[in-house]
Amino acid sequence: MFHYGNRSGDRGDLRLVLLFLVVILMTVSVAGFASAKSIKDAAAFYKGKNLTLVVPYKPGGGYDAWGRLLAPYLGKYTGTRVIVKNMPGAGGMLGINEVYTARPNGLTINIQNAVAAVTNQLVGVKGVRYDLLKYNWIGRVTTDTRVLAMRKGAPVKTIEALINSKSPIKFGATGLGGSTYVDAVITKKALNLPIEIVHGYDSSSEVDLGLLRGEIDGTYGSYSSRLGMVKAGEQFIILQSGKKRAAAMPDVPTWFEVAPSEKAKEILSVLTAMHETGRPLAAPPGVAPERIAFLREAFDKTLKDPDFLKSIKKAKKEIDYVSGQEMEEIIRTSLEISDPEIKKVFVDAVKGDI
Amino acid sequence: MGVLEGLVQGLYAAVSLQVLPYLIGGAILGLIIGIIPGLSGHFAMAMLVPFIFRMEPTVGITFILAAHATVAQGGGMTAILFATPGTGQNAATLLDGPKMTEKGEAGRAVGAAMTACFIGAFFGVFVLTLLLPVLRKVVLLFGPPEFFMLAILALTFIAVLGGAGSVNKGLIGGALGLMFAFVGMDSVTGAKRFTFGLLELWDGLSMVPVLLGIFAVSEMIDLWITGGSLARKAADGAHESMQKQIFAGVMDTLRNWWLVIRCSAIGTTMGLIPGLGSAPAAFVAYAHAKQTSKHPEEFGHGAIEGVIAPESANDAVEGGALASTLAFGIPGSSSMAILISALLILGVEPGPKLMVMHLDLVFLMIWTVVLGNLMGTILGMFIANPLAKATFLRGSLLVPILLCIIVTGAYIFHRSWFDMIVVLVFGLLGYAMKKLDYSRPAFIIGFVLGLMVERNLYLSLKLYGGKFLFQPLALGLAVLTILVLVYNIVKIVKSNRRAGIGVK
Repeated sequence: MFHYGNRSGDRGDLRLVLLFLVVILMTVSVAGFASAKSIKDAAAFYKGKNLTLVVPYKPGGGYDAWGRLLAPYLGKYTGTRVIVKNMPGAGGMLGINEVYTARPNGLTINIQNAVAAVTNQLVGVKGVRYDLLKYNWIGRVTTDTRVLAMRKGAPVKTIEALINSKSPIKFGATGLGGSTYVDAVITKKALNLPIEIVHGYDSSSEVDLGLLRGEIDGTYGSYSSRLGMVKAGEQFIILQSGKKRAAAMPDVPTWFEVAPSEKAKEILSVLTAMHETGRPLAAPPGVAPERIAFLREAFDKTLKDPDFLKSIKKAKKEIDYVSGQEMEEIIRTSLEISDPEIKKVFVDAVKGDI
Repeated sequence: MGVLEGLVQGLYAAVSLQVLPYLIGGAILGLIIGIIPGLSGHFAMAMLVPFIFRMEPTVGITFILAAHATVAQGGGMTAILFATPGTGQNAATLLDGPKMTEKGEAGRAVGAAMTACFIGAFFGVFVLTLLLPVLRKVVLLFGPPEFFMLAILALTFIAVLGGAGSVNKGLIGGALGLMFAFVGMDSVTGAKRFTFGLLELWDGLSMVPVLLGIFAVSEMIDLWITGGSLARKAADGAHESMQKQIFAGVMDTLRNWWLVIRCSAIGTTMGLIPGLGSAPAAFVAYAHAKQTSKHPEEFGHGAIEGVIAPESANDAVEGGALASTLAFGIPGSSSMAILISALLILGVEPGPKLMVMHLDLVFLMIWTVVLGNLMGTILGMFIANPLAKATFLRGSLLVPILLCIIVTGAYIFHRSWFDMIVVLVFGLLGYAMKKLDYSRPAFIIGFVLGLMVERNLYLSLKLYGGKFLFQPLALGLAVLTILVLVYNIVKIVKSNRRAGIGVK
């Protein structure tokens, strides 16, 4: 897996960055001695308690699997009994809302589909009752590289051929506002893809069946979700998200490589920044800082535990870790869209007006 | 590996000392989970997944699949004895099963249901085995136009399911079900329908709590109000007579073998539709049995065919649902989705490669379904007797206990408090429908198929325009639908004329 951190100085004003650094330095040095003790206090608080890990989706899905893989090790390093609680509803929004307003004692946390959470907050979808900037981030487990997959026998075999296709190519997608749909709509706009989006499939499994039947030609998805079909020779990948080609796909161009204009690159940067948020763990606002520090520490240890890594490998999953502090920054960056024109593209993509 | 070789190796693996204990253990667990109202095969599998991490692939697969296989049998027993669907797929069994218990024929109904389950499951996987070489082609025959027409065909059975002879009340029940199906966010336009600002309603109403409310809670209310016990006529002698009854039930199913085969075929075909589950297949089989019966007036009053038909269909569904799972590694139902994730955990990659490289595993799954069901059938017959004794308890004792189990079952499925409210609200609705004679089966058919119709109609139109109806298979299904509809209408008009009245 690859990793492209977004440094705070990228676009900001240098003085602000320096000020920021000074503040951090001061905080660290002042809190340095105290924190070791308060983390010990937090450990005493957690010992023997139940820690609820909310999965905002039904049992059986990818988020559920991550939750259940993490639970025993989080329990080991926090000294708690971790209970995985499925809280599905409103495409994952319900679980994020509920934990946001949960008692801030640090005993309720969640794993999030942050890409969807960011999109919903950015667009101002009705029903959003959380502010991601106020969530306490524990750390990111993984990210999904998004890819564009075509079916075996599709009329176009490369991204160039797709861009230059005279007749429209049909793309399958799940519901409106879902990631398969949003990615298709935004790249259609940014890369001028001559595609017709057929959305309304119940799940990505049904999109797969549609591709096998040949009623549609392509679809977006995460790299891991496409891998099975690609290995079986039923689909092939012609485009990937991100700024650099992933190690697993050295021959597949990224969408920045085929972007026709600066505007297109800007749109894709915003989308990439959103994808960067991946799948993090978070605690509600208002949890005491030493407990957050303790949870972050436990999370870091979990993601380095050799037995955990073994079980991840066995489940054919990949880790793309960033710390809780870095996660704060990633979320902040993903929520900043300064250009109103670009913002409109996203609003339209989520609400289905393109 | 040849098919025959795989067949033998699969059987050999299934009965090996290493695997067999897990097959039996899984079957017993599944049976228990089935008996508890609200807990489904989906739940049984999800619950067992954490236990298989360290198992050998053959053992793990057998364990969770055996548990899944017997759930329908346990559920059927609950449906017959306690007028409560043990799982969603047993809802259709409620139409005649409890009536038989009331008449003191619980044993006969259980015997018939258990046997029908086994034959249905056997039929489903038998067809699957025959189709193995062409499985991919068969699965791909069905796309949105075909699913749309299949769902419409199933919807026409609402006419047959009308309560007490009134077609209008059946249609109203069906329409009500359709209406509730559309609660939630429309995935095509993003419009929120009937959600009243509740996030809990965005994903629509889930089937299990609605089903439990409509059929189970309503029966509890009824039992509470009318008093008495579930078995109103004490079976004489109890134990020996129970054994005899069960045997009679087994014979009943065998005598109706042709009906069992037809209903199993309905189940297997509907199992091909992804995400549909087995509840609608069971209702359609029930309607088919009623439609073709020489004495349709007995249905709803404890007809043995009314138990045999749905129970053979709901287990035959597994054969169809396994098809796309095995052929492509694409789940045909929520349970199959869990099976696939379990296979991945065990290091087995489902999909086309599985069929080529691990034919023995494919047959192990098939044998597990067959043997697991056999086990469930035999065990079920032993459990039936002690369970049946509870049906003689006074309603005032039984209702609070059952109600607790039902509401807990509704909660557990999605761990949602909201579902507990749903189950109670739909309990009241179900009770009203029962008392006023509006068809509850029609309601469920409408409820389960509504979204299926809408989604596939949209996809068909978007993909092919209005021409989609003229694709060969879709056209065939359309003709069949019209034939069934005409046949039903003629039959209804005739029977009304005989009764000397117009449509009530």
